[in-house]
Amino acid sequence: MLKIKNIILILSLLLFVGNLSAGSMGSIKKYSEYITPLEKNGIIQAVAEGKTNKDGYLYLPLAKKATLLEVKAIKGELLSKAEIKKVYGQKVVVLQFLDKDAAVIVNEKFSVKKLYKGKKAKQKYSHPGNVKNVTYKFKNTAPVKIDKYFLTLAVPKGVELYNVVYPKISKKKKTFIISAKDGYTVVSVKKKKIKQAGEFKVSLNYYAQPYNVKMVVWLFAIFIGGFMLYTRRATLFGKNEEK
Amino acid sequence: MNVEKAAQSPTEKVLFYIGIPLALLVFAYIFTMPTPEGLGYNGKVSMATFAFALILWVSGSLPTYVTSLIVIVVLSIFGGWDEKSVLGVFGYYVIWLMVAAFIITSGMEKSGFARRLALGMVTKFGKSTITILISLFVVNFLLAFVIPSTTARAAVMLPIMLLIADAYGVNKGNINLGKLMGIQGLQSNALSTSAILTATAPQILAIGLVKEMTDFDFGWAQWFAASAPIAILSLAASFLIGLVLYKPEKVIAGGGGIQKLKEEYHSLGKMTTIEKKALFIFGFTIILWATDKWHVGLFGFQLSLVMVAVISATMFFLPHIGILKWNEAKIPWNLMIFSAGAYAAGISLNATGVATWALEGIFHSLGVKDMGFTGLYAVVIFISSFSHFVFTSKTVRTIIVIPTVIALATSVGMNPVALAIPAAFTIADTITLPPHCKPNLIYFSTGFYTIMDQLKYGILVLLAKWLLMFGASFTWFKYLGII
Repeated sequence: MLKIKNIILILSLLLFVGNLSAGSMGSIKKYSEYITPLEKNGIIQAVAEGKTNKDGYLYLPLAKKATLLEVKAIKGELLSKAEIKKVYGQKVVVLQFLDKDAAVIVNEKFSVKKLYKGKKAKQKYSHPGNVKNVTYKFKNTAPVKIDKYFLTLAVPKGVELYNVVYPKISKKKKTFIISAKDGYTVVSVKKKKIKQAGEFKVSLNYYAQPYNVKMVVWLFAIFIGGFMLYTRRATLFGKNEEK
Repeated sequence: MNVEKAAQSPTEKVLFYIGIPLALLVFAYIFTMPTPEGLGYNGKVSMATFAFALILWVSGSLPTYVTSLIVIVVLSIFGGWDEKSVLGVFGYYVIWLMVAAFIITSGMEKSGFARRLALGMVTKFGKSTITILISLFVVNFLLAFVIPSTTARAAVMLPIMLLIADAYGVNKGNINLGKLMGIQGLQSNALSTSAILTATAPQILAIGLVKEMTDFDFGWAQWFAASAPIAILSLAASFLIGLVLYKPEKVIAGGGGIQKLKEEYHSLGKMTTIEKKALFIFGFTIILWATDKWHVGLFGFQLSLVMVAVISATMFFLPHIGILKWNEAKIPWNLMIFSAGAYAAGISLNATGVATWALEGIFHSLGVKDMGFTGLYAVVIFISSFSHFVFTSKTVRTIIVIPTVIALATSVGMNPVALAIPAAFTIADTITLPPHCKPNLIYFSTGFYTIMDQLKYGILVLLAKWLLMFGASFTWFKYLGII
C-alpha cells in the first residue's frame, strides 16, 4: 500500500515538474559561451536565445564559481535587474522581461574564479614538461533544457594549444574545431541538447615551449646534418663508397 | 635497406647524401614554427615527425626500420602522440597479420608447393608464345593466392621465366618476347595482387585503416568479389596492350628450355607429405577467409581475418600437422619495426587532426568540394593509382592515401568507404618504374627491357585500369553495394 502511495506521489511530482518546465519556465533555444582568460580567472561572454514564460521570466544557467558581471538585452526589454535564485536546488539567473511568451535574446558576462589557474596536465610516461590544463564543465542549472549549446574556450595568449583532451577526436565526425578569434587560439564545440541538470565538459592542454628547446633542436639539426654531409661526402665527391 | 648499397644512380646518390640533413632541417623548421591555425601543438609535432620520416624513407639515407624507431621516440618525447598509443601500435591487428603471413609464406616456401604449381602450369600450357604468355599470367594470378608476398612471388617466377626465355630464343633476337615476359611478369604480379586482399601486406594495412577510421569491415571474400574482376580485366588489357606495343616474333619453342622445365617438373615426382600438409593448411586458411560471412552460422563464432591467419600460422608449427620449426619461420622483424613506426606516424596524423586539416586545405584550394561523386571518384582513383610515382613504399603510400581519402570523403559529406575501398584496390599499382617496388627490380635485373619500355607500357595499363575502375563505379561496385 505504501509503495502504491509513493508511486502516485512520484508520478504527480513528475507531472507537476514537467508542466512547470514546459510552460511556466520559458525555454532556451540556444545558449553560447565564449570564455577568455583574465589573468587566472575566466571571463564568460554568453548569448542566450529563448522564450519568456507567461509572466515574462527567463531562467538561465549559472556556472559554478561564476559571478554575474553584466546583463544586456539584445531583443526584448528587461524590466528589472538580473537576480540569482535557487530553482529546484540549482542556482540560476532569473531575468524578467516586459515581453511575455516572447522570443528574447540576452547577453551576459560572468567571471569564473581561477578557471585558468594553470593546473598541471595529467600525462604519463615520456612527454614534454610545462603542459598545463584548463577544463570548463558546463552544467545546465536552468529548469529547462537547452536546445543548442555552443562553447568556445580560448587558450591563453603566449602559450600554444597542446591538445584537446575532451571531447575526444572521433573517427566519424568532427567533435571540435580549432580556430583563431580575437588573437586567441580557440576550441569550439557544440551540443544539440542539454537536458535540465545535464553537463558538458571541454578540457584542453596548453604548452609554453621553452626557448632553449627550439635552440637545441636547431643546433642538433645543423650539427648532425653538417656532420653527415661531411662524413658522407665521398658519396658525391669521392671515389670511395662509405664503408 | 642496406646503407652501403643505397646510393646507386646519380639521383639516388644525391638523395642519399642530402636525406639526413634535409630531414633534420625540415623537422626543426616545422617543430619551431608557430602552430598553424586549426591545429594543436601535438598535430604540429606529428606533422614534423611524419615529414622527417618521409624524407628519410624516400631518400634511403637510413635503413627504414631505424627511421621507424626514431619516429617512435620522437613522437613520444616531443608530444606528437602519447607514448602508450605509439608503443601500442605493435599490438595492432596489421602487425599480427604480417607476422602470421610471413610464417605462412615460410611454410609454403619450405614445402616447395608453390614451385610445383608454377612449373606445372607453364609446362602444360606453354605451347606457343601466346599461350606461354597467358600461362605466365595465370601462374602469377594463382601464386597470389598461395604466396602472400609480391617479392617472394617474383623470386619464384624469375628462374622459371629465364628458362622459358631461353627456350623461346629471347637472347637470340626475339627481343619483343623478352620485353613482354619481363614487363608482363611484373605487371601480372602487381595486378594479380590487387585481386587478393592477402597477396600483399599494404592491402591488409589499407583495410585496417578503413576499419580503424570508419568501423567498416571488409573481408577477404568481399575484397575478392569486388577487385578480382577488375584485376582480371586489367590483366587482359595488359596482355593486349603488350601485344600491340611489342608484337613477338613467331617462333617455335626450341632449345632445351621447355624440356629442361619439363624435366625439372617431372623430377619433383609425386607430391611429398610436407607439400600435402602445406596445401591442406593453406587450403583450410583460404576456405576460412573465403567463408567469413558464414562463420557464425557454421561454427557459432566469428573468426576475423587476422585470427584465421594466426590459426594457420599456428598449424604450421603444430606437431604432426605442421612442417615448420621456429627457426625456419622467416619473420623479418626489421619490416615489423618499420611497419609499426610507419603506422604510428600515419595514425598520429589522424589522431591529432592533421590529415583532416591538411586535406581540407588542399582540397579547398583545388575546389574538389564542389565536385559531384563521379568527378571526385575519378580524381581520387587517378591520384591513388599514380601516387606510386612519388612513394616507393606501398606501405607509406597506403598510410598517406587511405586516411586522406577517408578524411576528404567525410569532409564533403560522402560515404568514405565508397572512395577508400576502390582507392585500396590501386595500392599494388606500382608498375611504371623499376624502383617502385622490389618485384620491379627483380624483373628489371633480367635486362630484357629498358626503363622507358616499362614506363610507357605501365602508364597505358594503369590508364586502362583507371577506366575499368571508373566503369565499375557505375556497375559492379554499385551492384555490390560498395558505392
